[in-house]
Amino acid sequence: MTKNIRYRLAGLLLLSLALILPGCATHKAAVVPASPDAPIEAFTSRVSITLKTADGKQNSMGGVLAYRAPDRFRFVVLSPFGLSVADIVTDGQRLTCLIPSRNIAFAGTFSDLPERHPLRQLAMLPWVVERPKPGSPGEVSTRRKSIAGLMETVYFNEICLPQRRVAEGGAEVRYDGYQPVDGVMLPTGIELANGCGDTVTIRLDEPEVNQTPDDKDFTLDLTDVTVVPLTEMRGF
Amino acid sequence: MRKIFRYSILLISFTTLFLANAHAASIPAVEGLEILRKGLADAEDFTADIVQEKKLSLMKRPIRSKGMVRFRKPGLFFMEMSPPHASRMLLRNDRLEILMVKEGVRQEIPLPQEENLQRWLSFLSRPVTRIPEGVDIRAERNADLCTLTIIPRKKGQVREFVLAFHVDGRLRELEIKEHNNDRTTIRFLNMRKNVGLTERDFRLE
Repeated sequence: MTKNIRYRLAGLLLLSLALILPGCATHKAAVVPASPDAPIEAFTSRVSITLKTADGKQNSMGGVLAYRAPDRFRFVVLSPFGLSVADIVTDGQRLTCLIPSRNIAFAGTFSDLPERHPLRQLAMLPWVVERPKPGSPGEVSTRRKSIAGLMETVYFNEICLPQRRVAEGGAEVRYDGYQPVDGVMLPTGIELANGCGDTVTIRLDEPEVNQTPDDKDFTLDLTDVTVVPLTEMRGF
Repeated sequence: MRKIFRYSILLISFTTLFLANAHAASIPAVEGLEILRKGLADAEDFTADIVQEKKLSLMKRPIRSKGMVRFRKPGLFFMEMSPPHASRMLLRNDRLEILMVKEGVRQEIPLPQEENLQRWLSFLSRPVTRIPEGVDIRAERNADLCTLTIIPRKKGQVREFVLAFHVDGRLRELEIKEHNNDRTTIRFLNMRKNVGLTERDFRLE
């Protein structure tokens, strides 16, 4: 190869780089503006969940929480090695909890669980993900009937997102750490209290919003699994 | 032009030869286990950084975490995952404790049988002459890199474990495949043996 050709090739290469690199530097992923009014139809997120009971028991776990409107939830609890320790689906009425390592699943309604069982609080999830709006622009609080059929007072923040909700009977939920995710303002911190001294704290990390999960994502594969009533579930 | 063509053919030939030689060869499972045992035999302890990746069918993106592990004979294992989901785990003989650092919650959790290290540690403490009961094992070797694929015979949560390691005992990667097609990969980096770990290095708080 002659010197001339080499210089020309080098020049071509440099020119190509000069054309490509600024494009790379200035290219940004499209930012979807988030609206406080945008509904949450579905989300999936890595989560940390801490359950505390009034008698001082605490349980903390990490995993993945998925939701699809209006009332489908799935919570996969992960061990430090990444294996699924428990796989839970619920619609706010029924609960199925699969323990993969024991090849056993507990299924039933929330009322089948002992009165102070930590998982009972998951029955409130449909209420927690409901997104009430102010009755009029600029309203800081409103009184309304919730999805659970109970009267509640909702307090809003400065951009009209729910900050705190108190229902009759004493159940309360607080939201913080709102972040724009795929066009939706999503709280990354949720604290739920059932009015009896039990609390659930949920922290979301790297959520995916409105990437609608399939039906199969909320259906546990119970092939060859022993299914027993939820009444037989001891501890969690 | 002819020169370019000739160089391309040479390059392709070299690449093909290299790839052919890079292909792993099957070896007897007992031999693979014995290579692992010998590689770790002189290790009283080890420490390594880890990168863990969990691929769940439920999430588009894999879940990634970084952390570190420590091990000391005869049976102390410690794992710490970095924030934002900071946790510490201590396995001492058959007792497993976990501390969720940010929440300050400490608990003991039942360890799935497949995660019971004691079984494997005692098996690897003597020269390997047979495959452990209850599993099928495939072994491969490519230069100084070995891979053991361990398949539990009894159907449980885990379909197979795949452990890649160097013949000198440095662990490279552990992959855990579950029957529901979820998968966890733990990559080991900067592994160091015999660094003099003490009891203080195996505390949750």
